[in-house]
Amino acid sequence: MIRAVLLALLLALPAQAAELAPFGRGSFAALKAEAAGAPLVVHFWALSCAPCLAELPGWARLARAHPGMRLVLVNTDPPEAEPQVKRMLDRMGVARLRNLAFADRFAVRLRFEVDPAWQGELPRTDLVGADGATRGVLGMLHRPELERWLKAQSGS
Amino acid sequence: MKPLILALLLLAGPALAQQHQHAAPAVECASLALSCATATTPAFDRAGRLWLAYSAGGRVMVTRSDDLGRTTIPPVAVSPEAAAVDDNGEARPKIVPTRAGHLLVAWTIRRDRAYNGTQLLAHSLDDGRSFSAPRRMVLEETPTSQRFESFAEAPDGRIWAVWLDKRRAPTERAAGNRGYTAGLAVAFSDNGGMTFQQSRLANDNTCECCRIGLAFDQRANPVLAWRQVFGRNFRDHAAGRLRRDGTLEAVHRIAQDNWAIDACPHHGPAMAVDASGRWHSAWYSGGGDHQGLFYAASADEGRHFGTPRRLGNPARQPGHPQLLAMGERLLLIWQEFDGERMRVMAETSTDGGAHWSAARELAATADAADQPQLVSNGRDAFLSWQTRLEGWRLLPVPLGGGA
Repeated sequence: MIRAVLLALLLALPAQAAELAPFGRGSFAALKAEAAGAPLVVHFWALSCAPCLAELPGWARLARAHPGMRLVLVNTDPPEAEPQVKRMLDRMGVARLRNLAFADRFAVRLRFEVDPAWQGELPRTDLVGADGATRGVLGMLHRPELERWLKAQSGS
Repeated sequence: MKPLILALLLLAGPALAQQHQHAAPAVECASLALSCATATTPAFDRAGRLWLAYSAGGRVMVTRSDDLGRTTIPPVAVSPEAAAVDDNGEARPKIVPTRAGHLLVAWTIRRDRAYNGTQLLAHSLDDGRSFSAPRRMVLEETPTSQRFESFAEAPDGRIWAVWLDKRRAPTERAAGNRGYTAGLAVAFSDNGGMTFQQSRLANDNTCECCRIGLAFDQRANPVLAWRQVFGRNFRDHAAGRLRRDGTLEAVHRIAQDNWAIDACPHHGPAMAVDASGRWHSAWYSGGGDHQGLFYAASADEGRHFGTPRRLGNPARQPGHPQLLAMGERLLLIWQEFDGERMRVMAETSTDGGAHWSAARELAATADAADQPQLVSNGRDAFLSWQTRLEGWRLLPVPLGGGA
């Protein structure tokens, strides 16, 4: 158990601050495969989404409170928004979390890979359990809901 | 005639070559050509020429086709410099050829990190050869944010603009209302769009990121459909007609979807009014009691809408509907995506929506696509669609029935 937590900690450490890795075809499946056995939280956000910006700073607090949780933030803006996205991540205090950004203008196809029913509503958070079962939550994710899910995961 | 055809062929050559380049992997489009447009909005003028307003490389451009989409003239820049043009599909530059023979172009600039918008307007008095400097469409004492404008000329010549407006947000925030969204603002112009009357909020607590459906009834009054926040947080759809002074007669809830969500759906409704005065609407609901794309009509000016009818293949993300009424004939389109291909689907009715054809595919693409648009020259209906691989295309859509 301790070893798993340590490993998760190591994996969660960002290589560099405000780095934006590409989220392309197959990325969602790759994230899930890479997390196999550990709960994974993938949060999707965009600059144009007011509730997303209200929620962003909370992810840094949550990551500190749950160092064993694998957390990935994915920005869904078009590729040319990268400078603004990086500035926003800095401003919101989440630049040191693991950050990805949609790397394909064919955004609808990337969304389809996450969930065929996802029409682009934001914010969206996907909770991937240790068994790989995924639950997509549309709208702001209330912290008690996430805490309950994390507790259930550590109990399983 | 022959030299003209030859010239057209020569002009079309580079365009074709460009399209082949697009098929090659991931070369970003950087030019201001129509083939590089992100969002393209069509409108016919009274002479049957098709005008297009589009965004490319942060600029707003205008071009025209005099032969139903086979060729377009060289585009003219409307905005003098690159800026953050709102062109995410729901929001897009628009063009209105007025009855006076002028052109009006409207668009929104996101002016800061908080995505506050400023709506701009430019006009052309010389048939699109040049455009005035962009000016603010509406002047407010303390501008906050204006986005997602819909903008059209009524049959009586008045220009109407409706949009989502944040003017009350500072007051609401100061009063501790953190859940405040936006309001529905209205302005009109009786001098062909040169100046607009002082705008007013026709309604409050609208969803803040969905386009507004706008149509006109037989008396040239605007009929709107928009996403409204009902009760604590149900983001369902409302319809209503504007009076001459820009106030709303009433707010009618189109359906009880009860979709409660703290999010931006980025998914607005469509509205059309047929020759018998029936209101037709199509909309998307992401959850609550109904999930999917729906259509309903009202025979009593919005007071009652029929039972919502589900549209499209639920496994293919049906969404972003458009409606067009021509007399008693109706055209309803939406997009569907199966994981690889984006399709434009259509249903038609020749009897004011009492009966509808089976859904059929009008067009498809295998890469990024703008939301499909409908346009009519008064006689025929067309699909206008901007796609990354194919560029812009115009397809006639036979509606059946008599004219």
